[in-house]
Amino acid sequence: MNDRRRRGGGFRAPVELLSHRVALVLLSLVAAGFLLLGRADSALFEGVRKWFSDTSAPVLEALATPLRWAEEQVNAFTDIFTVYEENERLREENARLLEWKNAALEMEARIKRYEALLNMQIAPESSFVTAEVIGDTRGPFVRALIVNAGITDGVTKGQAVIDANGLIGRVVEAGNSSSRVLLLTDLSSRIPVVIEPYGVRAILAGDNSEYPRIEFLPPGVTLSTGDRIVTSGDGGVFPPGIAVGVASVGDDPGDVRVIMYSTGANAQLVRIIDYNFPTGVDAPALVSNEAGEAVLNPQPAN
Amino acid sequence: MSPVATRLGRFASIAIPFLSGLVCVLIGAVPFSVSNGFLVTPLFPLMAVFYWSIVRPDLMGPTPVFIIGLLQDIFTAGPPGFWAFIFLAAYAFSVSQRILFTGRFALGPWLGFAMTALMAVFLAWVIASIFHGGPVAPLPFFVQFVASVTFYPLFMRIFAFAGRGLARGV
Repeated sequence: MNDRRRRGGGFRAPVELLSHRVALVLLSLVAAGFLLLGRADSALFEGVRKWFSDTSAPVLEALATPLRWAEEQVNAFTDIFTVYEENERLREENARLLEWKNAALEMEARIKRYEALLNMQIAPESSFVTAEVIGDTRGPFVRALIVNAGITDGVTKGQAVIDANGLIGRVVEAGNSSSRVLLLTDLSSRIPVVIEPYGVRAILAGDNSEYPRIEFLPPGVTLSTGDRIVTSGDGGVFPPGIAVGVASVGDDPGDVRVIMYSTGANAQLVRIIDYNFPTGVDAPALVSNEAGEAVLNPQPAN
Repeated sequence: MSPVATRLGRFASIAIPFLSGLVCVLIGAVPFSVSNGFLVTPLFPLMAVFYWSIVRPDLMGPTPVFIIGLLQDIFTAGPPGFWAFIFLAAYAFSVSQRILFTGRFALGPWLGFAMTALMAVFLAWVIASIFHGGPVAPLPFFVQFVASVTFYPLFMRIFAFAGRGLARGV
């Protein structure tokens, strides 16, 4: 009897079945406890995640290599059927871009003249780290990437991540040799943005769909489809002006979605931007004027 | 074969269900973007949990399921305990219906997995909605369910192939 159960892979004795059930209940309680603990203190498990990311990075890299090769072969094969249309499209786009390039060069020269005239202080240039995407966790609940650059490469939590087309997300965990990037489409992603040309500030909120929402628009502001969305730089984490996407307004004017320049879905190489936000600015001291009112001190403090 | 080699082979055979779950977690984390972006990774680890829980529940117990779930949580950057809890619930369901799923009906395991996966993604949606403080978009969960059910027959064959080594070892 026992042999038959064993061959079928079942439990050998009632005691074994009971211990399985007890373990099942206990571990379910532990898992539920982790859920509640993680919700209360999300940093509690961050160290474990970082360690696992660093440890598994070489394995993920090794697994990604043949898959990437297979992916390239599949893409190369499917491209054969669209090569003519793609060539025509690229020719048209190239002609259009050449016109834009001339306009941009002209504008650049003009802006430089104005900046020189106004003696304008230019914001510091950002440096960046280029990293390869080695992990991709695109579940229904979380949209994140794992990249092979970490603290040793100068990556820190909060830095903006872009690919060839625009912003794709931000670093949420930085391990020694790998980092996790939360995509803009993730449910918990919130990024301060500016809508051009109005200069209106809002928040780009991911909701796990391909098109994140625009939230917290000032009252009375109505956007149009095609309005350009860029980062605002508020909070000093992201550099201002990184391209995000264009607005898409549905039937309900309050429901504004963003068609992103890049969702990060096909990203293989990304840039992690180290933005040197100007800090250490002395707060201007307040002094009393002759009328006894508090005003800014015109003399810099030494 | 030496006794040490025999013992090692036996240990490796016993570890196959857990190792297959571990490999499934890693496969789910590897970037693959043929679908031009709109891709939700199938629940590969659930396939391993389901398959071994109906074929060899004595080797795929609650502890390996819990560890596989925790690893899935770590790799997907979800809340800790999220997938561990869901996989344990799916495990409990599949073990309780094991006789039905492994019956004479040829499509039984596949339909069994479809039922288990449906329960798992529904539970995932409920917990995700509780965490978010409101209902989250159900479409990605449904896509994950469909993708998982579509891929299961392929993985079932791979697990069955690995299981032959298991039968020789144990």
